[in-house]
Amino acid sequence: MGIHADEITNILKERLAGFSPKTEMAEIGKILQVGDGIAHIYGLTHAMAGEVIEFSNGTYGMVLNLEEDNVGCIILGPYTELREGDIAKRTGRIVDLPVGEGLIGRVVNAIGDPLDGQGPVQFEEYYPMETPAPGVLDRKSVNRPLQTGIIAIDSLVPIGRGQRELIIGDRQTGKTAIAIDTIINQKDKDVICIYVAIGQKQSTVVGIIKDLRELGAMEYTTIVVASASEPAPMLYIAPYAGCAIGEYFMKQGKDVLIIYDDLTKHAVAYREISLLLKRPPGREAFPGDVFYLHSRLLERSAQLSDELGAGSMTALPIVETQAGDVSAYIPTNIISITDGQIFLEADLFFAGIRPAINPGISVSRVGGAAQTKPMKQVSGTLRIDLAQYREMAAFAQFGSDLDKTTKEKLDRGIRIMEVLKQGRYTPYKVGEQVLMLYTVNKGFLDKIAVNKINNCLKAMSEYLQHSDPALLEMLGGSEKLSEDFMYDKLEHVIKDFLATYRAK
Amino acid sequence: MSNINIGLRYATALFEVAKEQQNLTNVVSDLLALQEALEREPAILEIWNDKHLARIKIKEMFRGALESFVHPLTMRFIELLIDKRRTCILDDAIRSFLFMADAERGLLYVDMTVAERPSQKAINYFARDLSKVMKKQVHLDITIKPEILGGFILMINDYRIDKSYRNSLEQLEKSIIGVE
Repeated sequence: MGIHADEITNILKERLAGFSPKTEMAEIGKILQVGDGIAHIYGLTHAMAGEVIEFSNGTYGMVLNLEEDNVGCIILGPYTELREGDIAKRTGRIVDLPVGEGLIGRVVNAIGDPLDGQGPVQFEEYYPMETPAPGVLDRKSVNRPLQTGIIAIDSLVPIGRGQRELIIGDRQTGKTAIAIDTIINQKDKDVICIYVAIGQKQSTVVGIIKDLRELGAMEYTTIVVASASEPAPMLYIAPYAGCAIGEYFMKQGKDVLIIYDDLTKHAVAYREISLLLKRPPGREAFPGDVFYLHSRLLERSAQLSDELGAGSMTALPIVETQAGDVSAYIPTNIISITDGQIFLEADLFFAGIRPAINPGISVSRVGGAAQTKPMKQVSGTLRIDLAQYREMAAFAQFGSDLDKTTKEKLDRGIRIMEVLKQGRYTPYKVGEQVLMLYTVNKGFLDKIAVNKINNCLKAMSEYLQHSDPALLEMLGGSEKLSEDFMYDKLEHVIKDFLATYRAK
Repeated sequence: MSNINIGLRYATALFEVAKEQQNLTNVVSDLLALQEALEREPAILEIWNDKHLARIKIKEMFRGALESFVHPLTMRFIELLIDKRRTCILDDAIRSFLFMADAERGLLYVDMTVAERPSQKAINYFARDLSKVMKKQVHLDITIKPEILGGFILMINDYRIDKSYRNSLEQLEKSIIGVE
């Protein structure tokens, strides 16, 4: 592509013709103290909380503390060049970032600057990072499911659009994997996904981006990165930036899925900032408003009312626990804010049960209302069956003489657990999930060896996709399955398949 | 609490009493002279800030040196700072006091940065015009900074008015590359 000198001249002429220098008038202050991403500024008497401050080197800051004789602000960029006595200027605007369709498929930092080397982000408007959450009248009940493609979640802890479901567990238990699988499952489902990486290793983020690209999920995903190498202020604003991007789409009537990975590191970054700003520390040295820090973020996820376009923002915050302790400060706070939690256990993970979801303490408070009717029909007793199985399995360890019923229940439980196992990047459609659960619940898999169950179910699903796709579609639909349909058609198909499968 | 705030409180008390007694001008000149003396003579400053020396001794020394030159109100203020171990806030107190006194007397000190020193006539002309706009007696402090290329930058309290060529060129640069 060639560009002519004439064209350049014309562009320059155009720009110069429309230019008239303005007298710049600004309220300024002087840096009293700077370091660790924090600056205390003398002056700026009229500064507002959350206002953007411009420093003499072009770096921006955000006002957090308004004190009697100075203003405490966080620096959103490199701060090593700033010195005591440098000028800081008020801009009169609250912290915002560019939002729009152009952000989809991009990787940006916490202030919306691109990090993927694909040029400037095309944006429609600037959107404030902090906005009030939708009020009571702006919302409606969660009534549409957000399928994760993970059978254990969609059956036991279903998530609805607009819900906030916490993913909690120790390190290396598959928390991020669940979030990424959920993003992958949104392909062709008209859901915009936002993944906010807070305080993660850059190598981990690169891996996630690569996986999402390879699986075609970046086409509908935006990634906001505030990696571990960035100063605490960037980690602090990252989830709000991601939320602002999501909120923009939600207000346009679209469905959004946002993942905050993870809020423990976010709280730690906020603790660091608060201590540097000399705010009084409380429990675990976190400041007093650490609950509000997360509640105001997560409350912005909602299912908007029809009058407001019926858009939704589903949040999957992630929290990392230490040695499975869910009663620590940050986990308990976020558990109480969210509409349920998916609890991942290291023991289950190392026992080969992946995703390592503990169905006993994982709950979804509102998602049940959004579950499809066929799924409700097949998963209604699943939680109780699993609880009974776990109890019996615990007792069975003490002795070998078990009665027939107990043995059968244990066998069924093992098989249910096997069905709930699922590999990464292999989301199941709702129809497939219903089929699998129906098959195991009705005891069709009792004669299949446990280690062959997964292969058998996959084969059955493939068989149905070819032989009777309409049946799978019906299972994945929202209409209740009639008894006749289940006995006459579904069981018949399953029996047919299993007969062929066993013969093979 | 920071020195700035404590200084402000002491300055406010002194200002109110000086205003009531109609001694603002005397106190202003006393404080300016004291500040200058402390800056010029490090030995005096050392005594002023000495934490080990008995307060009564410091008081005696300063009374002996200043009593015949400064207004009794200023002297009492100095003694009060020594008594209350607040000698470290003197700078902040003087700054706050001068700010209040200037406002009371209708004076406005404006810092003006220019690339080249203008003629005294031009300075007077500008100060007169600015006084009319600000409705205060403007005193211009001129700073020469060749890097602003031309025009001027005014600093009025916490506000900066930038009408420099450098700023105009920066705006032009942003306009050409299309950055807001």
